[in-house]
Amino acid sequence: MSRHAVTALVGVSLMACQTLANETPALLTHSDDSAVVASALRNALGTQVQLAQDAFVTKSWLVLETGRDAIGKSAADGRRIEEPRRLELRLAGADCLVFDSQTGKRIALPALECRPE
Amino acid sequence: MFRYCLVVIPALITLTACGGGGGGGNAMVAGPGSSGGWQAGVFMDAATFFGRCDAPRTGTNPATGNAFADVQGTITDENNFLRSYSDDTYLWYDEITDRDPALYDDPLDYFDLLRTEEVTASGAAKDKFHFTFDSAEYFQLSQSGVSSGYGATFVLLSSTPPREAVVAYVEPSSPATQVLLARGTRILEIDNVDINDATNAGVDVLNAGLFPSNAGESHEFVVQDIGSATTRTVTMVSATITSEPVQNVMVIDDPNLGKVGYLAFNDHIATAEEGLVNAVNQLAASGIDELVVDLRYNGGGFLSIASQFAYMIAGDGPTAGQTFEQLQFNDKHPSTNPVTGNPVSPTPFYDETRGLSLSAGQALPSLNMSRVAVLTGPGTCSASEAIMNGLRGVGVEVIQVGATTCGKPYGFYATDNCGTTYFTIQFRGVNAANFGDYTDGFSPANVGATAGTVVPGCAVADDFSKPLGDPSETRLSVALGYLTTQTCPSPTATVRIEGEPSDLSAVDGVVLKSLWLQNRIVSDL
Repeated sequence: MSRHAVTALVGVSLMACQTLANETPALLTHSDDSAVVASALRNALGTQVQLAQDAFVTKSWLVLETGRDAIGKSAADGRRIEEPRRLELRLAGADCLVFDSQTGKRIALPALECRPE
Repeated sequence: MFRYCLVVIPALITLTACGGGGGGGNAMVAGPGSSGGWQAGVFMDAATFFGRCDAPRTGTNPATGNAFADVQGTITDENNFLRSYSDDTYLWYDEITDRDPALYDDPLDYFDLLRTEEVTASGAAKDKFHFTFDSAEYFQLSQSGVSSGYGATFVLLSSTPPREAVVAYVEPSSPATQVLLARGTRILEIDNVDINDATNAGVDVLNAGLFPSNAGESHEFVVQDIGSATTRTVTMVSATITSEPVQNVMVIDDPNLGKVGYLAFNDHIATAEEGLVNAVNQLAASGIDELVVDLRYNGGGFLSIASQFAYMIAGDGPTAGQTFEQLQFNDKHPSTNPVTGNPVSPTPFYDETRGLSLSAGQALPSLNMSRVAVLTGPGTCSASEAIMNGLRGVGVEVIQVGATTCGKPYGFYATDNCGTTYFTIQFRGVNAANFGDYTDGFSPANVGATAGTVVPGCAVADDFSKPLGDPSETRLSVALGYLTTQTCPSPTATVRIEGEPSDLSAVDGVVLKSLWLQNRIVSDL
């Protein structure tokens, strides 16, 4: 199993190490658009995504956690050693997108306006 | 311009990417899809069976952003995956009784057997943390610290009637504070259902009220405030809450000790990085002489947060070049993490931010404490215990005041297969002194009766009659006394008179989570 895991690790790492010259950190132009971002993420990832009402309004990135509602404050998952899953709002030209550090994927947000951070 | 290099890829990605294939040099037994051929002690590579599902999923895998890679398989395939994966990665794999996977028609039942049945010195189960979640539930994502609720954390003092639930702490500017809920407020009724209701329908109502699924839900509570002989009815509307994991940062002027810093650290979530840095900067600017850290409700989280905070407590002196925690996998994997494939390397005391809520690479402040008093309860767990153990490992004096901690020097990678996410203990953490054997928790020295690893300090019940950070709150008061005299008051008895409410100034409880969750966890917590 571990041999395959290592292979996958290298593949994903290379994809995530690309230098992205045309993307810059961004903020939402309209402060009430966080819910629209959450909806776009939900459609792209196929699961519920809960964001704060001011997500991407004052900072271009945030950390996502998995299973928070399922686990709650139990001792079930009390020692996380993985790197956090970051979502980053970016501007690519005039286009607004979210970069997902865990998957290396970019999720377009065509309905939203962003501005440089 | 961005440049990213992912150092660690979460297990869910690596596991998903390694479906198919197989081999690995193990003796061959029956392959995928076969219902027989089991040979005790002979294991195929877990990857052979990974993603071969009795009911394959379709759609997007939220962990990868790609389509699910499930293919048609059988229940026996799913059981075989669990059997081989456990044999490869379970910390005590050699204490699992090998059973024929073809004889079990539910992977959850089979998984439940794939653990040690040994007990600890105290007689407790050696493995208290073996459990599963429905993956669709587990995959749900939330911004760190964000959830639907009222901004109140409840503690259950008694799970049997008369059941008692009280508020442990509240989030600032939340629905809870708007109706004046505060630490110690008793919950007596929810939506006209008495807290003692034992019917399934009643418990469902209580759960739905305590743990609203969404923002905008309205629920009615009958509560009783501390010091009040009467009750009142309040209506709370759930909201999207952003919790503050570091609260009540203050400096106490003590006539004997000088300036004593205090903070309540409730959760090792990503936003705690910024909260802890701000708190330590505040305390450092005040020139504190002693430090009391309140971890009584902190069940853990990101280990890197624990490492950063331990550094901020102790500073460079004792921590430079030292190990905060070293992970140890089973003896099949002495040097390589079997899940990620990365070399096993120690977690240092991080002296810079890690990019959890502050930009990475910023120098951390420190308090340079040679000793610290830690307030604990039964919910003090895992990464919180790692703070205590990590500091003790480099010679920082840790004083414990409160109750025995949960005893979890272990961890695991959440592993999804066929719609169930499995948690099986895969590593233990040891400190710089190679100590990590606190399965029965850390116990203050005078706890008496069954104790865990003994730490200097005092056993004291929780005190819900006072706010956290109040110098007269019993645990904090005793900590201040111990720092001054190195002595403890007589242990408080937490005897409950049958049928009478508990004395909220001397009682322990557990942080309340949904009963659904309690039912799903295979443990005796």
